[in-house]
Amino acid sequence: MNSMIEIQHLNKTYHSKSGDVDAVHDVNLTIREGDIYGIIGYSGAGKSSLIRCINLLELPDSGSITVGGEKLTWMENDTMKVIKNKDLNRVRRGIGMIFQHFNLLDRSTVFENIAYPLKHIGMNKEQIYDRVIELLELVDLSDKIDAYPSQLSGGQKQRVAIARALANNPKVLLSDEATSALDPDATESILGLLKSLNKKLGITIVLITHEMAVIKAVCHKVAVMEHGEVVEEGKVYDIFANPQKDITKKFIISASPLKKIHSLVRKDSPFIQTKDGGLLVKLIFEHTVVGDAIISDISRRFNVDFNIVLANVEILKGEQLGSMITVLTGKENDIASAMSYLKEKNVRTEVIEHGRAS
Amino acid sequence: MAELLEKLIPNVLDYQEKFFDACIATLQMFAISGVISFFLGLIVGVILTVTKKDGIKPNRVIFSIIDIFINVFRSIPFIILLIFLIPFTRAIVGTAIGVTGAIVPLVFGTVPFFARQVETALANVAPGKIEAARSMGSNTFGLIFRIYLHEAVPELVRVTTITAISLVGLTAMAGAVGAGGLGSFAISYGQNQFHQDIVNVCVIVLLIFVCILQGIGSFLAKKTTNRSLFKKSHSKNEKK
Repeated sequence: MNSMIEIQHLNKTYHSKSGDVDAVHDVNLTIREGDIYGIIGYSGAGKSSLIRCINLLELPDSGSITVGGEKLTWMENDTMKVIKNKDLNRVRRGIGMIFQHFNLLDRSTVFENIAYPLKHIGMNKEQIYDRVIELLELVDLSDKIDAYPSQLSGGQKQRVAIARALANNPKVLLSDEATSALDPDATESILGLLKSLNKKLGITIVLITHEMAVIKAVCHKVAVMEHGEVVEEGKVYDIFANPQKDITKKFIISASPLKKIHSLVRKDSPFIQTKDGGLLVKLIFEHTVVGDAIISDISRRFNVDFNIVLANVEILKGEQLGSMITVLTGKENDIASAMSYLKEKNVRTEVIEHGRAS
Repeated sequence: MAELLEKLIPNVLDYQEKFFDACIATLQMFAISGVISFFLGLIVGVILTVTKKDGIKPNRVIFSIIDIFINVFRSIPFIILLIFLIPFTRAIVGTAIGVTGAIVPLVFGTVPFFARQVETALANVAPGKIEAARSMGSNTFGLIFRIYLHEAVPELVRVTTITAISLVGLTAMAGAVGAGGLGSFAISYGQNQFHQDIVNVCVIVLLIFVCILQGIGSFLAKKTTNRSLFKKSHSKNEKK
């Protein structure tokens, strides 16, 4: 597949009285055609600035950006060149964007909001009408054609915004925290819609979010941002199965049912009391081993006991990822051989706590 | 009825013709300077919004010049502005007296006030809407006419009403340069000749006029908020 968005050595610094802030620092990204690409980070990590550079709502200080083969910025002898305004407006029509707060025109009906980008580009009234009807069907909102935004729910407003963003058949859709202001039901339905649009239209989607659950639900690939830099990047499954950076682990735990373990450890809960020599351990089973009966196998083989505290199986892009927190008890050398056998079987282990004499 | 009026407002009836002339002069000043000020103020207000620091085409020089101009003219009391502008008025319209002579100072007194109000009204348009329109490829003109001026209509109606009412007050003062109108009628025929009934009637007429303006303004502001006045329908059954 071809690359749809190419970003090289992108930098953006904000100057303020309290000092300079590197919002985007030497970011390199390649986003392939047809991907749903997530960028996750805490607020202030620079993800919002980065996504705004893709359609030049934010002008970077240096670096090159290419979208769908069109150069928006490029470097020539250490100075950044920028596409002409007229061409930029044309390119922007090929890049749809949706926002956290929808940004619909409050004094325009659903019809007029969606028709906005279709006007003044050489379409006649009939063509605009037909296209709007088509878009409304696509986002399943045909009965709201004459409603004003104030008469719609958050999820419906975002559907209108999506229809508006898709009006000119863009190749790329940028989503700036599009589900952050929505309730869980609406979030799910909007994410479902994005997923189906990606499938149906083959549109490349770049979305930024601070919720790992969003990445987990729709993205193929993910980039983790911290202090303006992309610190980790890859396929969603790989990142979830084997996160490298602390911030990535934090994000993954935030989306995992296993996060309860930390409060249990803090509270010194009786559920996780480990006897002398026992281990409180986290096991991660990737898709290659998730189906095997490893636990009972080890239990028999090494004469150790597993007391399962928490367990979970995720299905990410059709592949399973299991994780389990368990108290391992038995003789000290049996536990040691059980642990090395787990490693042999490609189960990743993470000791949370060694046993204490209770 | 005629008897009752004769008893209540004898002097108004004596100066009936002058009274109607005064009403017409006030209306003329209001209408002409109002229309000119509306368009000039709107343009200046838009330029302020567009050129300000976080505007869509920031331009410090243009913004600062207009900003200072507005501040200067807003800080001069109107009665002094009237006299101050006499040479300028004469140079532009050939005379500094009468309704024609009053138009120039009225415009100078109103435009800065209205431009500031327009600026405030446009500042209330959420920046996100501008951002969304830019992302859809709208140019500067599109942003001004299709977003700012479109979304701010109810707010613009409100500030226009406020400005119109304050303009009524200014026209009364313009009587000081011999522009005629209800203000000077109330002073020269009412106050100076001890005809309290003339002053009273002038007050009532102006009061009614202001009430009408406020009524129209409030009605339009309400109707433009969700555009129930010019609603267009696109649903299939109504189109066919």
